[in-house]
Amino acid sequence: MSAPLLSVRGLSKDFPIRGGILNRVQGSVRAVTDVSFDVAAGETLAVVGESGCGKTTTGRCILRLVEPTAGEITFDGVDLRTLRGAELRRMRQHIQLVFQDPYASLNPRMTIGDTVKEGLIIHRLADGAAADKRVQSLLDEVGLRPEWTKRYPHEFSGGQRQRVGIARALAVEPKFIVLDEPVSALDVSVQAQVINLLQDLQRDRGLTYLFIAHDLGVVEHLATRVAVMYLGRIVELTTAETLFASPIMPYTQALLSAIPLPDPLAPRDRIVLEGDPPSPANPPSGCVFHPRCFHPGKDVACTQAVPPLEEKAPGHWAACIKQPAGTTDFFLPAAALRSRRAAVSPAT
Amino acid sequence: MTDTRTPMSDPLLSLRDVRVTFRTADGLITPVDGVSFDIARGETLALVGESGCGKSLTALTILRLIDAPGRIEPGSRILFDGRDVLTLGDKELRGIRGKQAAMIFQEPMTALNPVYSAGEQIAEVVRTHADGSRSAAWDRAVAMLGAVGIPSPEIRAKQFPHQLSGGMRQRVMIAMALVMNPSLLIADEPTTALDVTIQAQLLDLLREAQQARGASMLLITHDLGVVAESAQRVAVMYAGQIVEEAPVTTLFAAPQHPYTQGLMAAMPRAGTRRQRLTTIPGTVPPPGAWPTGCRFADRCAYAWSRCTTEAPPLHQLGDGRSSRCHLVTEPERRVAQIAGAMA
Amino acid sequence: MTSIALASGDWRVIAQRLRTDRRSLLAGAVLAAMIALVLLGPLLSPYRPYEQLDITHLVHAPPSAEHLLGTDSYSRDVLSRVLSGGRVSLAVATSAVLIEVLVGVLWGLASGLAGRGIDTLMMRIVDAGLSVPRVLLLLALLAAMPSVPVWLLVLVLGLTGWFGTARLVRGEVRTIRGADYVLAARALGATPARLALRHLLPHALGPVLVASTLAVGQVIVLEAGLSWLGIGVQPPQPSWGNIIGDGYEFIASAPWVSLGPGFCLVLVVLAVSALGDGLRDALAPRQLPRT
Repeated sequence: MSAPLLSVRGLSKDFPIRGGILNRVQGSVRAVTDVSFDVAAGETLAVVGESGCGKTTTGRCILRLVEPTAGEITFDGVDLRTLRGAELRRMRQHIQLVFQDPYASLNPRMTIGDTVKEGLIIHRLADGAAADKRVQSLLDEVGLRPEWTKRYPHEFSGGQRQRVGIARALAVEPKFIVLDEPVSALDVSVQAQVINLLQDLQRDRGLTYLFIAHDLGVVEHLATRVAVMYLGRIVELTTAETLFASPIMPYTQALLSAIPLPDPLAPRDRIVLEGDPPSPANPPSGCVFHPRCFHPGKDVACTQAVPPLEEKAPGHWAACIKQPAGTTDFFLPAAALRSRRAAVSPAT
Repeated sequence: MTDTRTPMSDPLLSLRDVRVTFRTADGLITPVDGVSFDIARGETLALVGESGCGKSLTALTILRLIDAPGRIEPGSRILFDGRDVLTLGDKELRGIRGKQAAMIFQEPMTALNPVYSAGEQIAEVVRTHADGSRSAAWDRAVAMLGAVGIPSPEIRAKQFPHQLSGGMRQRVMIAMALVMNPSLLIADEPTTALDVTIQAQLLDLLREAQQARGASMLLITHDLGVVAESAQRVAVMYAGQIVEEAPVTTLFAAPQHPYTQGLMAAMPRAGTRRQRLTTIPGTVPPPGAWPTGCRFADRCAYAWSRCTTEAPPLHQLGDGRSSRCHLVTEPERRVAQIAGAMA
Repeated sequence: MTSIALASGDWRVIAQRLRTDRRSLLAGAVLAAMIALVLLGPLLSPYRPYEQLDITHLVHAPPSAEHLLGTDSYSRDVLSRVLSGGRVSLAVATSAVLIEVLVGVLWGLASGLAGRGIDTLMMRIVDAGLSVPRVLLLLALLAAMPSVPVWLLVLVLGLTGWFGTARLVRGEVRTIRGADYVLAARALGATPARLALRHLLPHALGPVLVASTLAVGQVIVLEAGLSWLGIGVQPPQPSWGNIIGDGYEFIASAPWVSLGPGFCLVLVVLAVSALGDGLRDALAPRQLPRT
């Protein structure tokens, strides 16, 4: 890979836990632990995992909306963690964010025109009639009517609001967009429209995406590469094709097999994980997945050392000490799964 | 609208022409507009649709849980185990709620009472519907928590909802619903708020619990994957009406209504990587803004002049299938449209 | 799947809701009429408010065609004094509330945006202010002053009343400052001042508007009480409070002196409260039916 657009090294984030009568800091929760990855210009890196795995915090650390505890974040050659005040605000023109909840992410007291215009004003990209014209063309680009600038968010459906959020992000001409579950709150028919829009924008504008998601169906459709997170750590990282065809980590396999398939005839040979993910406030020792792991080779060593994220096959990184380099599969319901998925013929 | 279906013999639950209206500032809206279906004993019927289609409201009518300004219109009929729910007295109705028919809601954090422990909430259901001592009810609650797969139930029973994980809370909800051995479970998006690995656990639990007890289930969901895994029959709702009904294998093999076809085509799946997805144009219209004629006409690829003027009836196609679409009577248009699209 | 909160931010919608609320309409009409009356007072007044008409024959004259509300113990026309006193009472109350709002909003915004330490300190000051009963504070402050010109009365009333507003604004700011749309503005590079003015303050304005409307009623009553005690608006300048106070001595023989201003006071306070409640309802987010 040539020099990546975004490079994250050793990112960690601790949140303080407060309690007691005086609300003192009593400890901390490590939401993100030693996360490293690169994102090349023009690609879509998906970060997947279940709630509480640290994927949203990771995205917000990149934008410095959450202050990382440790690690380096280099964007386009600039070390983002050294930026302060006005420098930081200027940098934000280049990295934007699209949120999950289309109801919470728009200011209910601002017209959608003002919402989209805000970035133009802040970065002095346009003002007056030029700004209004720009807003109209942005609305048009995301599939909304340009004459809707004077309307308020409550006049729009969830999918339309999500388009407004996308237009707001595009207004400042960013190179990189963190998409934080951008379609998971949307209905199926609207979700497909927004996915298409995101793909079109990436192609037309040469955008780079960090796509945070829990829906693996959408991830498989959109991502070039995928990082799987569990309890604050990246446990597997590879191309989307490889991940869905031959996942190494037991957790990834369980995650893939848990997706309910829209095919009533599909065999139900899924791996059902026992129990809940552990609390990040009190993570297990060693491999964080070991209490729920079903790997046949699991032993006491798994409870002792934190497994490093190693390149098990070219371009395929995984954090499992029981998986020697060179072999990529030991237990593959996912292969069967994939054929099942392909068997679901498109309607009509 | 008269219903032409052949009645199921001895269904557990039977809805006929159920209509719910709401008085709003903008006038009267009818978010549920003439819904009819049957559920056989031991069967799972999935009610599928997108937000605003009326599926949750339909579920609430079964236990008469619609509050003002909403109203179940006269003319609606709901027969549960042979009794007309809409004419029952309050006392008889309470006897059904939670005992013979129980609900499971999407968001256990808001559906559970934060000031009572998990065990107390389940024991409360027992004491409402069965005689017996407080301690017997508690024991039954603890046993039920164990039965829904909660480890060390004696300890968990004493914990409050906020001390439990999301998956655990939903198990408590399921335990509450199952504790009186109801003959009908009404599950409204029971796994939507949960992570996929937890969802897998709970779908298995629900299916096993239902099968072990021979209960029927009305499963409300927007997720076609969940439908395929859990239901025997499916009713698809759009804009307050059922637009298609079919056994689950038939529905997935050959959906008839253009809306169902569109929903299935819009799902990202293997083999469509990085390609454009098929979409249904436009958005689901809110209640009160439903088009005349066919309510799906303005988003439908097949629509012709008849669709915007004449509301299609729910045509019966045999083998328990039905479709609310004029294509049933003019099938040649389907072929013509596909040929046109290919050309 | 979810219910939808409607339009809490769209002022057109709020105005529409107020227009269709009969209670708010009536209250608004009463207030408007009252304000018009006292503003036009000098034109409508049959007599000058300070003029002692006939100290020998016209003391405590009952209401009549010449003196609609009768006369007081100095033979002054009560109606003229009520109109003039209303100007003072309403002006004092609204100006004091403006000071309350200004100080309270700035303090609350600063506290809401500040880090933990400063926020805690600022809120402890507010707690201290709220812990002393306002009437006691006012009595102590005003009694200690050799003379109380009207501007000073306004200032003292305003500076003893902002604590609640500050707490309200701080609370609103704290709830909303983590909201996605505020994060989105930060991600766009918005400065703290822009965040405060464009995103946080408008969110708090609704509740502040309700609270300050209700506060106007409260301050009118406070001022009346203080003036009645003789430490508010100083005679001979009339205010509703001191007219009531003047008449109180003769309440049995000449009840009209107190009843006129008393009636106006009650009417205005009721109207202001009703309008405040109406505003609260109009600003509340409404739910569409869950479907």
